[in-house]
Amino acid sequence: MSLLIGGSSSNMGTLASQKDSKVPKRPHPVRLLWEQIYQSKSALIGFMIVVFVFLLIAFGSFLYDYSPTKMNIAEALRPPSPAHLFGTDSMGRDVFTRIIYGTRISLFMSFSGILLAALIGVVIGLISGYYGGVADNLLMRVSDFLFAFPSYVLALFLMVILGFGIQNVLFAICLVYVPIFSRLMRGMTQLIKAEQFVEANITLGMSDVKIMFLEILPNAVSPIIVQGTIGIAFAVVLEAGLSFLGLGVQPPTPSLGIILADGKEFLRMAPWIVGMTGAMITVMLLGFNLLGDGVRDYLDPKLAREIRR
Amino acid sequence: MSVKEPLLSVKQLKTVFKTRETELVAVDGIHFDIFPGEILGLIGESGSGKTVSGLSILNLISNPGCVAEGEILFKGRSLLNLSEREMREIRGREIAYIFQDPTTSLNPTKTVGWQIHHILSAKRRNGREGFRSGNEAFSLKERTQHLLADVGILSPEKVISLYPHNLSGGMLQRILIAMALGSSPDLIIADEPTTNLDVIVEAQILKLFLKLRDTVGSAILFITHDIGVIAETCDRVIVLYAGKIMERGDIDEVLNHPLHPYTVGLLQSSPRLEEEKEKLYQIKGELPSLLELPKGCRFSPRCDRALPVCAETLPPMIEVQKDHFVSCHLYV
Repeated sequence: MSLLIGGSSSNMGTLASQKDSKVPKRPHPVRLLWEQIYQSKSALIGFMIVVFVFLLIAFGSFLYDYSPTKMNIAEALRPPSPAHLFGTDSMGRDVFTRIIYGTRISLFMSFSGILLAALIGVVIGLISGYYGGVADNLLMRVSDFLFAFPSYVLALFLMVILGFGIQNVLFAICLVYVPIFSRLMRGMTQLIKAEQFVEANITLGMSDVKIMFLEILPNAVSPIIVQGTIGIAFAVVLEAGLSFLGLGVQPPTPSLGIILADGKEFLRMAPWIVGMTGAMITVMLLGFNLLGDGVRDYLDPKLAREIRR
Repeated sequence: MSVKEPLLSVKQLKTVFKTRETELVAVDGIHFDIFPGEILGLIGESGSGKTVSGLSILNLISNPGCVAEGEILFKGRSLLNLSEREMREIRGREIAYIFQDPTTSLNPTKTVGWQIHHILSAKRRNGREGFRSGNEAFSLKERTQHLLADVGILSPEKVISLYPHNLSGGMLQRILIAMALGSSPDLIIADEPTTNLDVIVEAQILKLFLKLRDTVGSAILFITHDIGVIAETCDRVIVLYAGKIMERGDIDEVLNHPLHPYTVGLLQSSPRLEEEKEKLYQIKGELPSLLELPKGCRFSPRCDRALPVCAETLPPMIEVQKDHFVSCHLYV
């Protein structure tokens, strides 16, 4: 009953050439990504900015021995100097140190908010796109409802309901982004579901869960990653906005929005507070967006060619 | 033949697609048996209901289509009454399906080895450790490689780490066959498995099917529109036209003594090496739309030998010789 390897090779003698054909070894994906980034100037700049920002928030606090929250009224509103690189604020706190701590908190919140939103959104999108019908209708109407509000209004509304604080900002970011991810994933799922390899897996008797997560999801990863990188940049702004309005992170914890809100009172006397914080946000967003474009070009070469044209 | 129990018997299968206004009958009253170890050919033009019949067997006709009438018995069990869960157990384990286009039937983001491995681990069959029987215990990885070797891939250890885009259509079709064979299915439904392959690869794949039938003992339902392919592989053949069986019988019998004018037309319109022809025969007209099927015999508007009765009533299935059936008024 069993087939022998020898038997098959003698029967299939005409295939001898396939043995000699060498398949070129595929370079490691990380190396390919790096090459893509290196080739495009804007992606390289974005990459450098992001690396710089990460180094800054990781090691910047070692440059000075200031506390981000401890007040020192005697030193209030000092302009930038070697002792205080970005000057001090109205409470005498070092703006540089506060920006570093603030960026850590802001980035942490936007990262985790987006990650959570991506996880939830992907599952919703998969279910919705794969099964269709009632589940799809229900989930998509809920997401339509969330979509109907401008993201700030939705986030503000949530903060008012949930109350202030770091974890609620995270939830707000997540909730703003869940419909975006689920829509994206639903569309991708519907597209990929029509592919023959999915049908082939159904005829081979694979379970729905396996098909969704092992066959469809890997084919939809790239748009999700691109949406995620762009989402992180926007979530930083969302967080800063909420905190600026006093609805997000509560003082004295520094976050970029809080520093801005503190500084706005002293815009004339001490423009460096708002100026430096704003510059930090701008540079960081620029970096993330440029890098995000580079990653998208790497993950979707067809789209990249069309854009360049 | 008559002593054996049929592995699969399809009885008066009728598959319809519902639209808002009307009901399209894609497959109308198809009736056949497949015996263990047999290769049955299902031949017909595009749109004659070949693929729909194949998918109906696996209960994979999705909305708006459904199996309206008939019965499908597989090893004595009625497949149409099984739950989705029970059906999933049968799919890929006892009945495997091989698709037309190998280049789109594999996941582009996973290596070939991963995909075979995945199917094997999901479809491990109790008591039947995959393809090779006997006391030897193979790891999944070894079995993956053996399967690939068995379908004529000479360097399985290299191939398993490749992605589908690295491989040619013929190689991919072998891999798909290997995946289908993973659990030694009792029945393989091959839906035009060689349509997108060139002639040489086609010949190799056909040889492979014949070899598999002899070694594994699987029955094969071979769906194709190529009468040459049928002639090379099948034991018996069913000629399908517009959802109805026109003629069925032993392959030699049908090819050498075709009874139905449609079969005769099909045979005349395929080129043969031994005859020289200026022009190939052409069946006039085209396949009727499912929206406006003729009242009588489906083929009557295109038939050269049509009788007045042909346009009026459906011809019955007549056994002209032993195991050679035809549905035509000429033989009533």
